[in-house]
Amino acid sequence: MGLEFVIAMLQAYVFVVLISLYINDVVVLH
Amino acid sequence: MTNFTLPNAKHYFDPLEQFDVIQLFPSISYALTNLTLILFLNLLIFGFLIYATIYPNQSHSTSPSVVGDLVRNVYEMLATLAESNIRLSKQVYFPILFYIFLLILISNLVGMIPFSYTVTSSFVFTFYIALALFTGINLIGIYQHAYSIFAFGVPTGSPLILAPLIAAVEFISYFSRIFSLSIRLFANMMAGHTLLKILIGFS
Repeated sequence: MGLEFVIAMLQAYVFVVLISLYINDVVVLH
Repeated sequence: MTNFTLPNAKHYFDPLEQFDVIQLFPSISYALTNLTLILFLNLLIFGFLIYATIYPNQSHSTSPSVVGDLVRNVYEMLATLAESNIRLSKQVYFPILFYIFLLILISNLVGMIPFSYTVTSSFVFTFYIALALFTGINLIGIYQHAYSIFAFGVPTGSPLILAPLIAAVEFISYFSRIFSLSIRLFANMMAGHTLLKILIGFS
């Protein structure tokens, strides 16, 4: 049960981290 | 063979039954399902959080607003995340990060309430979020860089003779981002809730 709450928060965090990485990839071209 | 006399025996034994999308009022509305209902509930909770942060209760001005502090902490955490990940002088893409984070977090947490529905455990929802964000991000890239957006296909320093091969591989990995993003969220939520229901069924 507690693990499930941790997963719930962690997945939202991971989603946002990956989205920010993708935004960075596109906006700041190498 | 065994003959179940219970009217809906499936509802007592199937751990996957919680993911069924049911039309609540099929005679009135075709689209009103438990998924959309809980999604609107999540949006209401989101609106309440923002409202309670912007307009705290004036009658208790000496005591700190719990909801406001919570949302402010999330805001600052995401602000540092955006600062460290997106290398822009102005963080113009911060609001979408904040909105997506709160929406997914509220959806996941509301799904933990018994007899509720986890919106993020349906693949169509997570896939739509990932696809919409991916499309929007690429439109921003095309708007800002025109044709040089395709520079992501060939990393710097790669030999020119390998360029077509690298470009093909990069394109595949680039478009599989949608699926990796959506399937990760959906599979985690679905597996977790199925496991919970099975474990509860043992008791």
